[in-house]
Amino acid sequence: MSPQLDKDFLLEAQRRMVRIRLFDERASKMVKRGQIPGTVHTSIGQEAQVVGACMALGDQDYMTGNHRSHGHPIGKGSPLSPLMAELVGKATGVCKGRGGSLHLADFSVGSLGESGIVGSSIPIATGAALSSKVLNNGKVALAFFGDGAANQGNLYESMNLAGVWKLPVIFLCENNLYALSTPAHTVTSGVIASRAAGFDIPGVRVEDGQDFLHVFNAVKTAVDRARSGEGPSLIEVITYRFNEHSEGLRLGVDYRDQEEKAKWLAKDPIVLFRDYLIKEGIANAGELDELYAAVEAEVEEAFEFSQSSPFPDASDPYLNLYTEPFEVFA
Amino acid sequence: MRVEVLLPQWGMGMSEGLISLWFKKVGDSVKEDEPIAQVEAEKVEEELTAPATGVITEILVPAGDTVEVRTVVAIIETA
Amino acid sequence: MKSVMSYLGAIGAAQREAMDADDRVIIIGEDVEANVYGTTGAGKARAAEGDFLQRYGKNRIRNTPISEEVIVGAAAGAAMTGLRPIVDLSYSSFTYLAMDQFVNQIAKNRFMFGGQASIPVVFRSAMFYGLNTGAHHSDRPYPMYMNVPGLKIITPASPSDAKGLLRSAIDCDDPVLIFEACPLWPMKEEVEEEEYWIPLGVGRTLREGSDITIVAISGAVPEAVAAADELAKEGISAEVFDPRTLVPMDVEGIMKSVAKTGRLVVADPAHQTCSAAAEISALVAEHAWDSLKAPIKRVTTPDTQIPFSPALEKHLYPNRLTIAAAARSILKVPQPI
Repeated sequence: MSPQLDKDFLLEAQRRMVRIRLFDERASKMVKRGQIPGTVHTSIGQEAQVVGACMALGDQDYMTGNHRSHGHPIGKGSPLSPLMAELVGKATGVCKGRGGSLHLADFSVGSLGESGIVGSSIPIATGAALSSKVLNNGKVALAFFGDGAANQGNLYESMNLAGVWKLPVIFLCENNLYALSTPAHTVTSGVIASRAAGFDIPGVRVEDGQDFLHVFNAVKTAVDRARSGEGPSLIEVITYRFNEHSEGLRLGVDYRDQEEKAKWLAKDPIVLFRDYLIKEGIANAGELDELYAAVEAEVEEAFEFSQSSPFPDASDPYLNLYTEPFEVFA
Repeated sequence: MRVEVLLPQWGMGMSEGLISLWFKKVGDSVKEDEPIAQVEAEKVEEELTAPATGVITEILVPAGDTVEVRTVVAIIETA
Repeated sequence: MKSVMSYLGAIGAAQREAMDADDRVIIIGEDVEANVYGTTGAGKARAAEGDFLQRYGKNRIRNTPISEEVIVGAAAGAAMTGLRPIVDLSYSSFTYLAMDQFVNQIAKNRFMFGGQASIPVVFRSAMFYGLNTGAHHSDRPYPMYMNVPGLKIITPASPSDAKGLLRSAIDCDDPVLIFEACPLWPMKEEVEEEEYWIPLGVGRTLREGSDITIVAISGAVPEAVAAADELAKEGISAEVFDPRTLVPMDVEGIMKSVAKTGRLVVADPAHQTCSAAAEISALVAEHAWDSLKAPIKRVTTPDTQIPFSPALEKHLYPNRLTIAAAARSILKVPQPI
């Protein structure tokens, strides 16, 4: 095993996956109880895909994402309390209550923002890679987007620009096989990963996105390539969301096949990784139970924080609209 | 401990819901996630489930009434 | 020390100053390396000081593919992570291709993320109207962007205004769109060669007057001045005010002028509906009702598309004759035969 993948690193991987799971399970309950306004889109089932990618990035590296947002900053190490407070719209939220679930951002961990418009943040990540290139500071950027966004034109504009300028960016497609209720293959011509070849950049399909190490290794290869100046990569990770597209969504029709669902639910990335760690003698059941309990306590603390924090003061609707604000004529 | 039962927002477009039927009455015991009322909203017919295990001590919205999402519709007293 | 500069030359000078002052300033856009749209300096300045590619190199001056959405979005992402890009989008009509990035990313990120982001980027584009380029190249889209909170917009109408405003825009930490009127590109005047900044949100009075205020935007400014000079021969004292910045607008300056004259014509080359003129008229009606002696009149381009034929296009835009006629009609003075 490479020196980087030591016990601490692997336990941190499990810890972040469990954080996403328990945070999203709690968020889901909070939506059902009317405690979170609007809705949330959980990453339950996709933890290995998210954390495998995030942990292949360095702390200084950048990331953008989409509406299935909580897992991204959590995967990159963002503390849970300000995220939970943001979901509830409190002043102590990471975006001061202005963003909510769909627009989380934590610049302190390189999370440049999740986007409610599918695909819209891909050019932003491309731009972060451009600044890295011009400033020559060695940073890498990663854009998370789904199988639905893989059909937005700006992905191809971004791949072309990144390819021709050799920008250090990784385009990571979280293919959970459905864009809301639409099966990906019914609206996608060809294989997403194969589209990279047209831009002369590497395109990799990770078939088992439930396996942390498979995802990590693929993204790490792309990160190393980017950091060494060789340019961008496209990685398509096949995974599955265990819950509905968004919490509380009731479409009245079962658009996912029961057998298919059962097959994927049997591949719980957290259970799989736990089994791996125990089998390889990296950690024992007791340590992993302790890790789980510690995260439960973190989530409980984040919930309490979100409930006890104040709402933001509504008196300045223009707060943070500009860095140099101006008086509205009255 | 006093736990508020709020009408959830099922889907981004839902702004209100009609409580069509209460399955439980004041004094009944309920378990967390057990269905306690039938709700009709514009696109869905759904079951409201209990957010905690305990006893229903108040029902604040009678069957037949329409309320906004996140309105408190009942109170559960937990052990 | 002053020298004669064209509008385009002044734009080049402002960019050169900014590129010299800060290594984080870069220029990206289609055909910028060969200076096809005169971005990187014009005429004497270019010959004397070398073109931008020679001066700053390929790292900081970059030709982009024809991909407006990623050009605009990547400039925003770069601005959020340490650069200060200037983006040349060539024709203003091309900005629409990047509308999602302008509206949903650039205008919103600082606000939505609670102040974590700052987006110091300038987007340049030129409105090629009045030049027989047809409907796809002749748009004056600034009113659309005025309705998007989070952006700042400048429309300088002279070389000296262009130099000072563009420099302020580049040094500003907020995203700024500069709409240049292509008919103004060859306009020449004496411009200060040393660095200077014109703050955003401050207008300029080009002619002082007491009978009527003419507020003019962009390419309508020199026409308004010509109209005022013509009216002066008829004994009408017209004040001409150019806000220079549309967001934030120098509403105070407009109100001061209307308080003095009591009458207002707004000349704006945009289409009538929801034009900058419409907003200015609404503001004056709301806040200066007691000063007004007559209804407000707008002189704008009609709500139709721009035809190609030279016989059909030119007269559609506000010009000195239509502006002067609007003024006379408010003053209830007969039009000349």
